[in-house]
Amino acid sequence: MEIFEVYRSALPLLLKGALMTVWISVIGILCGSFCGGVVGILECNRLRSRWLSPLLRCYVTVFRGTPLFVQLLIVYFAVPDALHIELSPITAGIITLGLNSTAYLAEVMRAGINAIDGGQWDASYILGYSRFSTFRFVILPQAIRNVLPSITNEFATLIKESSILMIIGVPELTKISKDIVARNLKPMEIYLMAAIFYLIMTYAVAYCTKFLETRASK
Amino acid sequence: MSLIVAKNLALFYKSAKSPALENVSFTIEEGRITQFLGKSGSGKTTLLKCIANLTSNFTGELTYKNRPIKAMSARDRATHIGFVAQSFDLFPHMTVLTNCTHPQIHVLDRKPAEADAIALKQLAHLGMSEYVERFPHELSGGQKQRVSIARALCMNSRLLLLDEPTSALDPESSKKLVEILRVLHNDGVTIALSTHDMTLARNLLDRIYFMENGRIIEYFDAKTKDISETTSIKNFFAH
Repeated sequence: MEIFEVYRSALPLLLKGALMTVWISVIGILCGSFCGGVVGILECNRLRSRWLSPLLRCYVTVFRGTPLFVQLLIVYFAVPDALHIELSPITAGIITLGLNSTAYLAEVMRAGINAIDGGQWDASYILGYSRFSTFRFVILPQAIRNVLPSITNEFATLIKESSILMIIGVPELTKISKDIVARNLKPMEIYLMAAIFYLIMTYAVAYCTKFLETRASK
Repeated sequence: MSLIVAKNLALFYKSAKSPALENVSFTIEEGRITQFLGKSGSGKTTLLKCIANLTSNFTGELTYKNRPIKAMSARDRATHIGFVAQSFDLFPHMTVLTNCTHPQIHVLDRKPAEADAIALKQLAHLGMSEYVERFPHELSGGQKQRVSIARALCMNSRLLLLDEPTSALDPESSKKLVEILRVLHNDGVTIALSTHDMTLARNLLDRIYFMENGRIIEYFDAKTKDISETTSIKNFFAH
């Protein structure tokens, strides 16, 4: 009976932590998709700019080549210290996840656009589409179809990686679990439950991916 | 009347040892069928791409009705010159009908109802009425090509460029294409195509430029010459 009591008291808190995890991850993936999309577009073969491209490549290389944990420490501790500002743990967490997923999704988007046959650009050009219209009506719809699975995979990754935000005190699922364990000393029950929550969230994302892929292929 | 006049066209690719086009001069006459014949790599496709302004780093003079093609706006060019690529390049996320209406609406600012009527008429003309709601991946090569031709004609293009139009077609579809091009020719559409398909070239015999290594080495006009008077073109047909 004791186990039921453990779960009865822990479940509402774990649920709250899970919601925070989802919220942070959703904001992170939205920032990443938008900014990553823009960076990816500016980095694709047809639009690459001689001046902007080195800067964007540098950004992508740095954020893909360094641990998320280090990025988080820099955003939460180093940047506010240097700029004399204050960042809440949640804001710092969202900024870090957003910057990180922007770098990854920029690469995904770039590859998705470059994968589109050159004939599509040529056909649009011959038909008189402007560059913007070509992008909006011809290239992007096809590119998004190409990258949809990668974006949802990145979302699943972000959900799992958001657990690292516990280190700066963001009340997400892992932090809440750790706090509960510190109080009731039941690590197996609580961490197992946290793992199940993560599994449900990532499974839900995988299911949505499948659904979107099926819809997009029709 | 000459629609296209090219004088001393030349094009060099940095990576290539020899020029893609060298001292190429030709005309495309209104209402006629002009064919650019030659082996693969002779410069036929490059030439058509220059006319469509897909390749613009050439030197020399290239005009459409006395206007430099490079100086024409995208919309202006689209309403005069249609291009059907070897791979047809239909938009895969759009239906056959949308492929034909979308450019009309978004480039020519036509109203959807008007664009629909024009597209349906062109598609019916090319025997594609029953496929209007299909997507490109649901069509055969010949059907895709007909949609690509219809899409170009929907833009009012009176000059139709076709790059190796039979290269992806089976013999039956190639035969059908010849019929379609004859119909379009009779409707007054000017046709220019590149090919190394002897049967197609023979079936559409009118004006021929024979190309080799980026140069035009022989010219033939059915109105003024007999094939037997040519050398390279005669040899090409003899093989």
